Amino acid sequence: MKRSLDALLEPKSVAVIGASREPRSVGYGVLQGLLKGCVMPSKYAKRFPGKVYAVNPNAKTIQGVKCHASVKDIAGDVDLAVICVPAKIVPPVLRECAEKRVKAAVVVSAGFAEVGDAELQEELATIAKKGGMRLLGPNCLGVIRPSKSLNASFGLSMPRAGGAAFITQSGALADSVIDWALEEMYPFSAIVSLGNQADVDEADLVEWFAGDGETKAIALYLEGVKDGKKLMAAVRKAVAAGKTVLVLKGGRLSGGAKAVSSHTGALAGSYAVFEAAMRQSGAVVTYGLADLLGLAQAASEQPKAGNSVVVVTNGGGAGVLCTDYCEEFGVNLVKIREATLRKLDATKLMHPAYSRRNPLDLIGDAGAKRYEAALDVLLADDAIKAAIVIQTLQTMTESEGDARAVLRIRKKYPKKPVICVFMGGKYSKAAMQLLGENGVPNYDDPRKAAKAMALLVGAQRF
Amino acid sequence: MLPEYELLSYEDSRQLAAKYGLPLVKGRRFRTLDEAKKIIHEFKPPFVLKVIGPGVMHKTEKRLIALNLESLDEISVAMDKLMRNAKGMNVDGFLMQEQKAGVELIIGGKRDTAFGAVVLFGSGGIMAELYGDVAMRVAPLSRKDALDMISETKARAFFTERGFRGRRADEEHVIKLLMETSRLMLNEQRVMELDFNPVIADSREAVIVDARILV
Repeated sequence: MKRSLDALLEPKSVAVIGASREPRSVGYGVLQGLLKGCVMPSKYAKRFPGKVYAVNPNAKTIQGVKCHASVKDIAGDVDLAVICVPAKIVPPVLRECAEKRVKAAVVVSAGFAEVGDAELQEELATIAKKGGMRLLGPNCLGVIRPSKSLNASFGLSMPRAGGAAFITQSGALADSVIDWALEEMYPFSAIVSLGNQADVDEADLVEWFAGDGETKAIALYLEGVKDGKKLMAAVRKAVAAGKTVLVLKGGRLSGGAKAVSSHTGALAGSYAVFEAAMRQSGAVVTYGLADLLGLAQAASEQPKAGNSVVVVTNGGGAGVLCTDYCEEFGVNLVKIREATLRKLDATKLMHPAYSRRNPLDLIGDAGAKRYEAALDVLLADDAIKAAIVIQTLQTMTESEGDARAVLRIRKKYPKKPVICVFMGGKYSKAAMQLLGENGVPNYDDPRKAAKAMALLVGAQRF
Repeated sequence: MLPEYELLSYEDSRQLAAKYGLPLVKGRRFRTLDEAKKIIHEFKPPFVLKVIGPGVMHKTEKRLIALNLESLDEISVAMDKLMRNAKGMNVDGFLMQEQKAGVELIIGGKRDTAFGAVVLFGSGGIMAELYGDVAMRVAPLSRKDALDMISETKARAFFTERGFRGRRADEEHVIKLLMETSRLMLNEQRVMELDFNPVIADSREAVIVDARILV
């Protein structure tokens, strides 16, 4: 089914208006983003497979692409125009786009409502509406869709493709999130920066991603909400479509100091109402970026399951901490049945002093074989629906081997979520990357893992 | 501090509450001891006396409430004391009520610029703001929303079969109050904020003891 934001999020052809020869400029970076997928190298970056056009009346070619004097001079159809010209000339450029029947526009240029010129911004909205165009921005980073090799933005690099759609009211945050994602292996179906929202707003995007097969989780960073009812309806639609919606709001503690004339007025501040409305619509409220993205990663790469979880560890302390956190978030650590314990014994791979209860402590000398055997026995048990795998770095630890063992287990039991806490830094990095790249989220702290598991098993106290 | 809204009078509040079947505790407004004498037989002791009027807020802190009154003599003494405490305030007179015992709750309503009408529920009384034990929903409320609101607060302990420390409140009466408050906020656009605090609930009923409706 065709939807009105398709041209913005799944364009077949893109024109960069204001393409520039100056390597440090936005107009150069946007064109390079389309031609190479990135400015800063990423192994996930590729040339956009659709048509790429450049518009610049003063140049013949830029980065090997022929330049057109105006968007109207382009012979073929243009689905999406990325506009990076100075604010004052955005309206005439946008009018030309409308005449050319461009379907959607991203206005990267700044200098509108954010500097007090709401009138100029209103003019853009009117031109877009009259021309039947959807408009993202102005004052935004643009759109990135890794799986489509689409980088219609001045985002510097290309993250790994996956199931999380990140929608942000701050473009600068998006840039850092991409860099971060290349370390943390956050998997994105899209990164969309909203800018000043002259036309397309957060609710429009939530609704579009509700119907996107690639997207499993929608992560929103918001600072203000104009139409709360519209956002609630969009979130409800996404949740009904099986998506996990996560929100983080900036400005949580501001604006609470106004004179109030009732207890209710004092208790129901604007953030409190926002949070209540989001929960009421079925969204998960988070309080930090790492939480927002780490949970979106779990929700987009792991199945949901019943609340009956096992913790497997090679260190007692990490297991004790994880048990506390599981209780805090309402994750139920299931009692391991006697029959299952006997099967563990029968592998002949367990340490004589292994804990024989949940959390299952494999003891510090556990290698990859023992991890794999234990997880295989545990997840074969119908009563156990999910696993948290903790690895502390000890003398006998084979962290990359352990990671590969976890990945084989993950494949063998596709309906059972497995998430990891490979604790460490420098010497655990290779294993963490291996896990992340292959769809098993790894957290540096058992508390984060317990929280992610709580989300996957639908725990009460989440 | 009433920055932009106006407080609805006792009679108007009572009328509006009645329109939505919201039970306000039995009460009568009066000014003089003679008037008190005429209405006292309509009430069962112990009585409560409150100063009411557009300039009256934080009645407990400002000692504008007298509790546990058993006779006309005690009412007479309390009237003098309350009048002294209310000196300089914009006052409409006194309100005589029957004293209720039970669990103190707050039910509120307000309008949010982004989300519209909002209904609030929580632990009530003078500590409501201190503890902040509240849950909120955007109107309209479903029955499930109302149930969830109760279970999100610590006040839920009173709604269990055994109650808490001998105090028990009935869920159904509170759910009805919450849903009717939601209806009121949606239908009466002039109402900007309202506090029903305390609402006193026990196993047989839930009644609004103090209503502040701002229009």
